[in-house]
Amino acid sequence: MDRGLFIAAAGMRAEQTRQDQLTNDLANAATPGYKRDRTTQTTFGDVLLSATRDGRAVGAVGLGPYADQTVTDLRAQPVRETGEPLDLAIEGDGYFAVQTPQGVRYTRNGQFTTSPTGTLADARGNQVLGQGGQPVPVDAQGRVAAGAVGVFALRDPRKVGEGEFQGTAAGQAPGVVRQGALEGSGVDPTIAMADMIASLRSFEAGQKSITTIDETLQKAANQVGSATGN
Amino acid sequence: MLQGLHAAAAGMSANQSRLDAVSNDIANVNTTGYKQNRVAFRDLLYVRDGVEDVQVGSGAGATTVGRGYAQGALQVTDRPLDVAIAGPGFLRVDTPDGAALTRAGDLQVDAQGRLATRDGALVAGVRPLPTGADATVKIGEDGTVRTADGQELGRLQIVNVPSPDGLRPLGNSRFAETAQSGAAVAANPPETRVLQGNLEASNVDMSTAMVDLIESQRAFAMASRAVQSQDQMWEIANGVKR
Repeated sequence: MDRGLFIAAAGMRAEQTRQDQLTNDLANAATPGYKRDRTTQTTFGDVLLSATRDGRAVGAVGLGPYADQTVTDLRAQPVRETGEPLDLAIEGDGYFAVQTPQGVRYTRNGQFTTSPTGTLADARGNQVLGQGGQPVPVDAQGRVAAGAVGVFALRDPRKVGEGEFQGTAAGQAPGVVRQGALEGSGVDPTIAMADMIASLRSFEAGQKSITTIDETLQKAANQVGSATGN
Repeated sequence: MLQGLHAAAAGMSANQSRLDAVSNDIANVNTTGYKQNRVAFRDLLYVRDGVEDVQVGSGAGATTVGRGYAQGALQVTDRPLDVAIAGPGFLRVDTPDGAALTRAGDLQVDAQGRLATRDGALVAGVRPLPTGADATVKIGEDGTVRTADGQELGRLQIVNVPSPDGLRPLGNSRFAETAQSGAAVAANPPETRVLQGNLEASNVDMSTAMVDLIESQRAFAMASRAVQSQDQMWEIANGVKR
């Protein structure tokens, strides 16, 4: 009987993770170049039940779901015009590369600015790199030359925060840099909201299962053993 | 679980910053030489959730990445002491707190005949104007100030910095140089010209600003909905044991 308790608890735990991820998506509904996350859920191994008298197999029971992997939806999103010369967007596949103190990181968020030395930098002051890994100069008009900013292909991209991805560089990507535009956030608010409600109700259902099992256990403990039967 | 609550709060806070910046832009839609704010968004740190290959983000953050330095529209005023800067650069002025840079060129003459901005910051590099010369003064495209009979009184110092985004706003349309902006150097024609009898309007585009306002407001509302949802999950979790 207590097996059911743990199955329900595992389900609630998995929904918590899903809810946290949806929350992060909604918090980033207006973040340029943001890519939404999904968590895949899988089940703990099944346990084969057997009859106690003759050992005959009676069937499998699951041990509940758990979140096993984060999957990021990396599809390119539509770009929107901003008119700012240092807002850059990649149309199509590829990433900007920035030189951070932790090494080269990749991003789709092109809200760039100028460094004190007159080169292109990201919002935190990291150098944006050209295709050859060199800094990108910003001219006296506050613009960068077409094609000066590198677009890199990336294998196994993984989010590391601050809008950045880590992965294995794989040369040039086919994406085209567009000036004066930003890539929209990959969050679809409608879907995120609907998922959030679904997740909440699923969480609630887990709670109901636990309280129901709890009641049954209570009856087993207090009533079955009682001589009067109530 | 606390993670989600904090992530939602971070999202609200980031969008609040953007709302503030856009509101400030809208308030300055008619301010001479005003440049709109640029607020950059980013997602925050990702942390591992449990033992599996699952990571959860910590919400969103906003940082100001300076100003949009797009040229504002030039308005012809025909007032001799109105100057607009066409192209990149700033007019250097002296305030009691030190040198500053501005693009608000609605100048005036103070009691001692000195050229000053509307709020009294003195224009650097120009000698006091003779009495009555303020109506006939000629200012060239390179910033040279001359009286009607050709006497040179000095030159407006039009300068630019390597990274205008690094300038520190001082209020009153003035900015100060910082280590992030780099040192100011002279900005010369033909890139930068001084146009007498013109004023540079605010570069805030009202329709873009309104769309930004709506977007940040909706994003704020969604993050706050996520706070509610997280709160409901807590309530449900608390209901496990009655």
